Amino acid sequence: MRAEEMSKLPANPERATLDGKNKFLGFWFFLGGETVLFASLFGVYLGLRNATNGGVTSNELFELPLVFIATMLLLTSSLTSVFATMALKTNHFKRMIGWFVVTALLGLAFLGLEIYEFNHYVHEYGHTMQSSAWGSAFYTLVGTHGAHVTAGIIWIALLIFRNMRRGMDLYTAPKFYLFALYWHFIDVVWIFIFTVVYLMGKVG
Amino acid sequence: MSTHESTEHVSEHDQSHLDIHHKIAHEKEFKQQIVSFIMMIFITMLAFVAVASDAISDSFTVIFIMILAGIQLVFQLYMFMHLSHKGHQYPAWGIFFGVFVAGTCVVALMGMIW
Amino acid sequence: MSAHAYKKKNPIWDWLTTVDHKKIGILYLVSGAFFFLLGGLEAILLRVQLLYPEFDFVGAATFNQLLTMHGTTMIFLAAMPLIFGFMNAIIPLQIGARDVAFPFVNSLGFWLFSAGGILLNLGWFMGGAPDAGWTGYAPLSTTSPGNGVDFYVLGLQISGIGTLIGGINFLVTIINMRAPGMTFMRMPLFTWSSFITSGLILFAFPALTIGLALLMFDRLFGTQFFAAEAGGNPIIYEHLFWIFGHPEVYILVLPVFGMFSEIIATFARKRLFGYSAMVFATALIGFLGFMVWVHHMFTVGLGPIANSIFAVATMLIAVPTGVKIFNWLFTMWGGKVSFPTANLFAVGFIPSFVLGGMTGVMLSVPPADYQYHDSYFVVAHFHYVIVGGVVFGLFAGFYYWWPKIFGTMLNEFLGKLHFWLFFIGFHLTFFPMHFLGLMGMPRRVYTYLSGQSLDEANFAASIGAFLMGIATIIMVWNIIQTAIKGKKAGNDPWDGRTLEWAISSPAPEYNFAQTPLIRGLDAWWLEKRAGNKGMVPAEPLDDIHMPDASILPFIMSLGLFIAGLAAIYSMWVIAIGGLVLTVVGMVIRSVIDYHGYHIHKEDLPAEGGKGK
Repeated sequence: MRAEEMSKLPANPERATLDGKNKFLGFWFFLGGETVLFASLFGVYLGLRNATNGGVTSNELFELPLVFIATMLLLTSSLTSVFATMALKTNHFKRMIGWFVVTALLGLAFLGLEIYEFNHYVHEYGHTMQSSAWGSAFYTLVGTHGAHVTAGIIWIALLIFRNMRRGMDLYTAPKFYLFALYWHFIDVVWIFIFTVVYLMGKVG
Repeated sequence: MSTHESTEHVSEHDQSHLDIHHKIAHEKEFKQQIVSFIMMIFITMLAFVAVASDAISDSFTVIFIMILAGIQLVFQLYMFMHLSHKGHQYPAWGIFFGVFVAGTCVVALMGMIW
Repeated sequence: MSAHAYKKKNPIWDWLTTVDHKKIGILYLVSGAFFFLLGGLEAILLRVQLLYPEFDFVGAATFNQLLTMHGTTMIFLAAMPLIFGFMNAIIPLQIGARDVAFPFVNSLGFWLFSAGGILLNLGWFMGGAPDAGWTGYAPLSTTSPGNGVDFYVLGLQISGIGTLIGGINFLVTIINMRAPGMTFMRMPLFTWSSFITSGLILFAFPALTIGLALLMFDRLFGTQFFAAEAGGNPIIYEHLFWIFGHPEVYILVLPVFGMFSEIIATFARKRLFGYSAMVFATALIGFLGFMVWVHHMFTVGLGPIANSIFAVATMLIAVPTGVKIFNWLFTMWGGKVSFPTANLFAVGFIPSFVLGGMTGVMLSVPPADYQYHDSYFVVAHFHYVIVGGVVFGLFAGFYYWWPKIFGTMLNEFLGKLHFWLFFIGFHLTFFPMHFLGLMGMPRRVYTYLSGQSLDEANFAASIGAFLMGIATIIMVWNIIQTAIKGKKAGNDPWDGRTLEWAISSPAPEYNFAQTPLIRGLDAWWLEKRAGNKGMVPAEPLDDIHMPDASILPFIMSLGLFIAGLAAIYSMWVIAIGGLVLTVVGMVIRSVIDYHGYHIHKEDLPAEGGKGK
């Protein structure tokens, strides 16, 4: 019965039921709100980026190779989650899970780099949340993004764990689809973080 | 929504026909995604190179990398998040009004302080 | 199935776990009313303190706490939940839906709001309430001693999350859940304006979330965002607060504009004049609402260019608002107008609100604003807008929809007494404040000196406040009387125009046994004119799917409440424990499937037999 149903999944299984449609739309709106949330943090950062309080400056602190690697990790994870979405739409459950696992692993690697980076800044440079207004803004903005990555990894781990044996149907498809949207959104935020925080921090 | 409803009522024959269409569409999309990804990698590298090199003036670099980030945003939204697909008009409203408010926020917090 | 429906439910458990939008609406209304009474009591105490010059009733420190809590409570804990209460109780009925898009999220939104509201008020019992004003400006708020402001920051943060998810829920509900034929341009105006309001909530509240989070970091974790001595910038907080704060004004007032539009049309027995202009004006006000926040900051010193741009944008808002005022007047023009209490409040609103709008235009001129700023003129202005607009609207909606929500009729005599006392008291309180402000009396100061011509106006204002207090007590008396021996209401006591009046009062659990077919604007009125007894069904009678009740929203909110309270006292282990409780709730919700249950069609009352 299930196999038969599966072969007949509609073209957009994530939006085939009213429940799926609601989740899809509600999640997009949530991302619209998140846009304003991150924009507020970006604005705060830009307002305070030169408020170093006599401490280390962004130009002295940031190392581009590290940021570049982190960016590549996250960009690639965005691609792998697109592959997962495409597998979802063509009803290849195993393939989708595979790509999501890769996505989560890349996310973990990114998170590891970020933890290393923060640790490095705090211990080598004394650059903390309390040391200057710029420090406060830096850790809040980048840290909020990191918290989103962490939440995303927990989310997808839970989804995979829960639905591994259930397979794809109109009930699970929206769940996976929303995660993919979320992950792309995190990537969008990172694009602006590496541009506004790191690259502009190097330019001065 | 409309795509789904229309596929639901088609006959077996049409169904297989549609499946082939889907397959072709997906292969096309796959290629598009790969191309988008390569473009994004290229754009990212461009931004890093612009900052790392001393050949370009600072003020121009800032504008340049902001434009590049804007292009990447469009790629993410329209290619990876499928905003161009059917049934995305409300999501588009949501995200673009968010971007509008976000823009005013950033301008205010960055520029309208002393 | 019937096991489910006939199972006797423990009423307390039922209310804690309900996901029925009508019950959640009632929960919102009850808690909003409670906080309204609390905020009103705080206002009365403020006015007692200001009864005489150099009076010593509560003293300066308590006065600061009272004025902070009065503003915060009235905006966030009274007006917001009351509006959400009406949105919950009415919108699904108006669009012909069986439920909202996310019943679980809806319940979570309510419990988060109440957790935040209770946390905010705990300050009174735990060493002092917040005292930095309802705006919580840094550095006053970052340096305020004690824990008062921490209660403000965390309480508002938690209730703000609840509001945000409530907003998303209504956006999706209105887009996806409309009955067949209910196009956007056939939606009742209350639904329309709530739709726009939900959008404003979605895009405005994140700025407050960040503002409060940064305030919390500065107070609890020693960050330097707003500490000028370490390079921080307190103006950033003002921007964040008002980027949220100005849209918030429209979040409050737009839904009541919608209520007035329906009430005035119903009691004029005419269709609303200029329906599409009303919709357009509402959308325009919502849009412009995001581009005027700097008018709260004219005296900050952002320079003449910024001030001029925002002054012009502010004045622009008078145009769509004026369109609305004229449309209401033209709706009444030539109608067979009757004046039950609901319409008295609606008609009383028009001149009151116009006065508030006028002073708003006066305030929008920066050079003049330098004179009015932080004086009682501003207090008069925003009370004319918020009491004359929002509170009158909530009262009007309360009298209008009470029969639909509770199934009984409020006493009209007590209602009219309530209106007249409140109306007179309101103007007596706030009209003299214009002159107090022009004479230079600063707001937020706990007393004034005698012999400066301020005595009489202050005395009159306090008397007016007492009148409003008496009026509110009469309303409470009316509610109690009606609850005990209220007369049963029919389905359609006001000869209404919109869909909610087509079904029984109160609406059954599933709202519509069969989803109705909508054939035009004022759907129910059209059917009545066509001689039909009920709506035309759009589907055959079938089993009705209902969502599962859940205790998880309550538990998740409890977790955040514990986390917030513990964070105020820096008890981090308990705080993390609270957060874990919330996350566990989310995980359980995610892992367990909720399939809902069905009400079988055999158990539905026969068509047409629903009425009393």
